[in-house]
Amino acid sequence: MAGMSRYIAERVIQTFITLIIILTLIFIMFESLPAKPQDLLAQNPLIKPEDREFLTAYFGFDRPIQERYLLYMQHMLTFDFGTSFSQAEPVWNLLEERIPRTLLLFGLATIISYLIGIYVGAYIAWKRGGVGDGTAVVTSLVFYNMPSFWIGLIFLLVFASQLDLFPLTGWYDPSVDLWKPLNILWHMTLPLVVLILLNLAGTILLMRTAMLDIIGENYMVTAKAIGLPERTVLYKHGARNAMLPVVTSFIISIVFSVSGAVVLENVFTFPGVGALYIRSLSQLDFPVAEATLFIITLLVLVGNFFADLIYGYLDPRVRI
Amino acid sequence: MAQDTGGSTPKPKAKSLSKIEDIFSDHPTLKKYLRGPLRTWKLYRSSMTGLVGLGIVLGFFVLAIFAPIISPYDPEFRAPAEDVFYANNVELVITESYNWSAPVGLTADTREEALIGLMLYSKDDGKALIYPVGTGVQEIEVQDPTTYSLPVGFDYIEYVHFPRVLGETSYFLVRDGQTVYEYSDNLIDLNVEWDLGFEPMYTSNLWNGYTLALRFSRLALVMTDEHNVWLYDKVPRDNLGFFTETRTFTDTLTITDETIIGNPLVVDGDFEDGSVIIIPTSSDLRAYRIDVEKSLLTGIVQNVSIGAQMWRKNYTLDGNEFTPVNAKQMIAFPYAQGASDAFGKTIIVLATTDDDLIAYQREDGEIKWSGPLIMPGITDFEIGDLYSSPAGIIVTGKAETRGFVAGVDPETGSVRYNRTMFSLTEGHINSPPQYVSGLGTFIYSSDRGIIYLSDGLLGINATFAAPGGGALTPVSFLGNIYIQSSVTGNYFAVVTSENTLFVSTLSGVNKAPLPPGKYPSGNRYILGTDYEGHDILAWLIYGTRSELMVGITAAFVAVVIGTVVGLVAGFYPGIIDSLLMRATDVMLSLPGLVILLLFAAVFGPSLVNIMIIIAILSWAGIARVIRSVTLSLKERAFVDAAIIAGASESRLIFRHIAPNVLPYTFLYMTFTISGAIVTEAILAFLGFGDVNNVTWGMMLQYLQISGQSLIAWWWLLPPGICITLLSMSFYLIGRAFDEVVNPRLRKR
Amino acid sequence: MALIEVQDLKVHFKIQNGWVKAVDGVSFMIDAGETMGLVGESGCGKTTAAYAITQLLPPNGFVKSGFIFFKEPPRTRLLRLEYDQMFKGNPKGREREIATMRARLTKLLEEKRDIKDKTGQVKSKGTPEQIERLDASSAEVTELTERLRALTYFYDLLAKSKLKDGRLDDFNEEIRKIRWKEISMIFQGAMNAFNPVFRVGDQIIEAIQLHEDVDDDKATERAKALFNFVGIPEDRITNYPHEFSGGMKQRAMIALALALSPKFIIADEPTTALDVITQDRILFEIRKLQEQLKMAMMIITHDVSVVAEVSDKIAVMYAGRIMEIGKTVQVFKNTAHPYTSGLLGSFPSIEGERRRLISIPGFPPDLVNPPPGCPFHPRCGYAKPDCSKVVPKGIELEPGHISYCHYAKELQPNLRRLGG
Ligand SMILES: Nc1ncnc2c1ncn2[C@@H]1O[C@H](COP(=O)(O)OP(=O)(O)OP(=O)(O)O)[C@@H](O)[C@H]1O
Ligand code: SF4
Ligand SMILES: [Mg+2]
Repeated sequence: MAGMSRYIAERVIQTFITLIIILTLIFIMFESLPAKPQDLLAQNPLIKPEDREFLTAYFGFDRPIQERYLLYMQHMLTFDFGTSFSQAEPVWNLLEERIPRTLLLFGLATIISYLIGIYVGAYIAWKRGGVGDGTAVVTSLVFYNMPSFWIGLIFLLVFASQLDLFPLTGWYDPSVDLWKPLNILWHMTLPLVVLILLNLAGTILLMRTAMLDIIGENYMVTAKAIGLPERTVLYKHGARNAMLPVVTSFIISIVFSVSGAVVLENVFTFPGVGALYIRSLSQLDFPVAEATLFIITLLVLVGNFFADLIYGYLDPRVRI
Repeated sequence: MAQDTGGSTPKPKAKSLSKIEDIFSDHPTLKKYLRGPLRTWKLYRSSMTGLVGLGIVLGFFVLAIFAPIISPYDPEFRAPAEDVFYANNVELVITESYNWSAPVGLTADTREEALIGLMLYSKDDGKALIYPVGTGVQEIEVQDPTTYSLPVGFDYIEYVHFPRVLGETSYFLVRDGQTVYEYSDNLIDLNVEWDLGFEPMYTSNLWNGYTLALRFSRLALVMTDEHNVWLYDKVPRDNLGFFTETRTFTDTLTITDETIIGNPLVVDGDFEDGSVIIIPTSSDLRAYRIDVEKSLLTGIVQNVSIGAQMWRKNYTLDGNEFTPVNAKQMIAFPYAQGASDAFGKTIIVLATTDDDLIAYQREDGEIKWSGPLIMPGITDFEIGDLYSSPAGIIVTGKAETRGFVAGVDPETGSVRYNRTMFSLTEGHINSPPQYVSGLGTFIYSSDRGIIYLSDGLLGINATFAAPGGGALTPVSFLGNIYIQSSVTGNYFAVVTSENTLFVSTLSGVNKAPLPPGKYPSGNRYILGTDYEGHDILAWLIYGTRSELMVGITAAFVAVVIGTVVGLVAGFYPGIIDSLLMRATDVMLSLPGLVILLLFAAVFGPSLVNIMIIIAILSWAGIARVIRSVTLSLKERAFVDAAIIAGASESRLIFRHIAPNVLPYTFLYMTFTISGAIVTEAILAFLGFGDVNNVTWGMMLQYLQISGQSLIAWWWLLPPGICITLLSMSFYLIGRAFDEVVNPRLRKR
Repeated sequence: MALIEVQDLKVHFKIQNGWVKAVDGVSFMIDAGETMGLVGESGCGKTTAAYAITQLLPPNGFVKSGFIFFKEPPRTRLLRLEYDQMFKGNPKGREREIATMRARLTKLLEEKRDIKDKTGQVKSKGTPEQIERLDASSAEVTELTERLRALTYFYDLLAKSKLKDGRLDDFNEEIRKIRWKEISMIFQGAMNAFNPVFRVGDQIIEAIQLHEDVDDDKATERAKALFNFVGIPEDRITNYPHEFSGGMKQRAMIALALALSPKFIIADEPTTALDVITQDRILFEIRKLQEQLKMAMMIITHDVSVVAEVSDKIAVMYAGRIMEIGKTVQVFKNTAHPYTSGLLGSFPSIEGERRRLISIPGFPPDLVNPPPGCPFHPRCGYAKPDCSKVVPKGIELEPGHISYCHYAKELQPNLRRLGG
């Protein structure tokens, strides 16, 4: 469909422009930090002098800022992140296996929480005023305002420590005799569930509001008048429309849930990008921090891009 | 068609309010001004959740304001030792009776200072006992010893241990006459022996030169007789593959013109500069550099030797000569080795025969201060030993049970008696007070066989009498015991009773965090305590202050920025508008918290920084809303009327649009506060919070650090509940207010 | 034969400070193939009445009383009226009657089964007495069933779906089968009556396939035919609602309403968004179709000219009540209610002759606290003291022409009427 492909093209360009702006912002932020990366580089005895020189040239520490900016852009856009200052290892090596893990955790959590959230939100709005609605709203409100790490800690306390159902840390334990995907899933359960709960709360509240907005729409009355069964009216005609604002506000939720993922990776010592980010910050390891921040931003933008696509699919009005 | 009004419940009439209205009905002007708020309140109070939220927030405000009155303790309060500390004794009978040395703690190299064994050495027959130490759930377990035989008559010198480095890391140094032997940690393998050519009389401190920046450990020890100096310097192999074996370097020096009169002192320097040996001689104090020769290419240490003399100072001060009491008491200050540059210089303190404390500056040996110590209420105080500690210099009396803690003024280098006097109930301190870092306490023993645990100012927290009584070898602090994979600070000391057959292993268990309840001191901790004995409830109450401050200030700044941007964008369509909106788009797609972490990590975690950053990262959403509100207001008739009436633009914005935008501003303020509270908590939890303020997030971070998060539910739950409650209440206020501001929502 | 009969319908909305008495005792009857116009000022409860019939009331709408009989056989109706008369103020008696009839019915059925068992299900094998007995009891069963239905208001739509508190069960299975198949509706807000995210054609097809077992191609064909019928090019069935103009949406709505050739259509302002020519054409077409299919219709409108053109019957509503009801000619020519007269004065004459519009002074009453007595009395130029005290009873001026004014008879000759 011509309309759709133009729509996609527009989104791609827009996403790219935003990416460039954000990259520039990240650059400015790192440049304006009081601690200069080159000093940190100089301080690490593990980095051999020749490596040091190489890295200085690589990052353009000896060049004027505008050239450094171009270098930086080039590196970032080609996923060429240089070498970690603290570990004397290419940043990409560190990221390589972490990115899929974070993607898995975050992607699963996002998809599951949206599926459930949309379903439940639509349903409780439909049955508004009832006990189920009240309970769901209050629960969502509570979870929505809970600090992510705290739920994480409680889950660890209850399910990992007390009940001993799930492991306390990690991503995969070769010493446990379990088929690998299951092993990973077993390790991921707690962070995943917490992340889902967090996202779910927001999605349910949002979906409920959106649904309440459209419940009184004329087409809902039409759907009912035609004699459609309740489920069809609720999900096909109602939820489909109510999803639109939910998808629109995906950008805010995705930022929220990426933050949640970063924090939770730390709580659950899940070896993902977020944990790496926090570690690199506490070690002031700039190449790693820069690269992880970039990856996280990219994750947000790509997520948002997909949300835009879904929106285009859901709402014929935008694909002109 | 059909608007739905489902679920709206008729609310009870608020009687008090109608009364208020009655009162004001007599005052037309007052009534006029109150009409808006009253109307708002009328609409607002129909929301149950809104009222609950408002109530909770007000409650927290009351807590914040009246914290000192409400709180059972103030935030600095710590539960006294009788509540927190609990002695866990393990008593073992040694079958043979020998003249045992002070016990030595053997620590594992995998984790920092993890105690894995205990060693006793008897010079009389060269017997060494090593007791493996295991860890139970709440207490330590000392197992049966293995006996090793060393040649009879050896002097035990040091147990050398490299923390943080993998591999063979522990050595025992023993001496027999002119020979020094180095054993590896199984006490069987003899590694090296050195014939010094003289019989050492004085031994320096074992200097552990771990430097954080370099991640290298280096150890140095100096032994002297009256004229000869022998340096023993050890550089361990590293775990990074630069060099694969531990290297030991030795060097000697002879001082012919003077007699050495006391223990030398090895003071820190950093790796590049080399360390310094300070040697007291009969007429002066001398400093020699320890030269470290490194490979230019790899940075690997090639050789270590005693270098040039850096300075020597006569024992004179303002023309008055003095002699050091005993150079054994010479100490370097500050205590922490890695932090040599805390004052930009190291201070060396020694005591004189006149019971004065003299401070030298390390670089040039300049005497910075001297003078008689004035101690109120104490006329004759004979300085016994000096010990360095983070709290200051611990000065013990020679023949008395008293002592005090002196401090060094970093500006002038002067040594001052500025701390409390302490006194033991019995005896004289016979072991160096050893600092127990996790607890912030000291452990030491007296020559009457009592072991003391004291706080940083040597206020006595707890005492232990050795079983069977009698004299003891000096107590030793051995290291931390790890329980359940986290440092739980079980501190350990061993005492041997001289002529009885007991080894009493005394382990003090810090019982904190204490669960809620009433404790021996009579204190009741309603929500228990944290690891350091702080009352959780007190911290919760005081925490309210910072939470509200952070939340409200950050939200205020964000809302101001957001409102101004929104107003401007809404009012100037075209390029300004689209630029500003593009900017908000970008801001909205920035992962805020993630960037916040970056700033907090780099600009240093202070509450002010955190507030500013939260504000900067949260204005964008508000700007969008305010813009659309402004746009719709602009369409409204009264604005047109104002334009026709010739109002200027700024007047238009500030007189006509801004007041109508204010409700939205307030609305988003509540939401932003709600978010800011949680954000601050997350920052604090991840270690980027402000340590100078009690916040709930901070409490949870301490919990996480202490490793108690899987145990201390009374510490885990309350802060989280408070964060959730406060954040949710602001959110609920926002939701209820939203219904007032947006009538469309009211029907739900 | 009455296709639909509304009797004493009361629908109230619950709001924060009370009840909106949107429909407060409305009765009327529409025969198959007949068109009734429902006119009245905005907010008088027309749409609410329509929603009560289609059972689309919002959640705060409560049916306080009344019946909506749909497709009730004439005899049942007569029986029902008789019983109502008989048991007026005696619900216990009605219950007892129902109980005895049920018992009798059960007994008869048992007896029938008995006989059938004996005869081995084959009637002809039975003895003559048995056959006679069977025939007799069959007849009685039929009779009893009919009576029971009359007694229990079997044909009342509300009886099927009304919950205890007066709310309607939104998705009652029986009602769902009647919806659109039997009763469809052209909505007042036709602009938004189509779901914006689905194609208009698909929505029509959805309705067709929901009630009839037709394959996609057939259904598409029918949708196209409907589009043709309402004058939209048939290839536009693949368009989305936002690609339609307002008038097209309105026409598509009409197409949707006609999709299943229902027995009864409620048209709530069906032609307001259309230009006069289209309006005329569509009204004409609807009329034609209606005659072909013997469809009954209720047209709700402000536009008296539309009513005059298409309706056989007219009901004038005010403040939730019917003021005057009768054949179009009767109401227009022999107006017997001051309100009708005022209302007619508010519209230009259909005879083309320009006249000064006389509007009714004042505003329609607040339906939360409607005026006592005749609701029109605050605005009525003929009001007398008892108008504000006694609720007027219907006065039948001619067969089928009823006015709810105390002084209908006296005033009738004086009232301004159409063309008069
Ligand atoms: N969901 C509702 N809740 C409360 N009151 C309602 C609701 N729906 C309608 N009403 C009220 O009921 C009365 C009748 O409304 P209705 O829509 O039936 O009027 P109408 O005659 O169709 O008017 P119009 O000609 O303007 O369409 C009005 O006073 C209206 O305010
Ligand atoms: S009853 Fe009275 S008030 Fe009502 S219409 Fe007739 S005359 Fe007017
Ligand atoms: Mg209407």
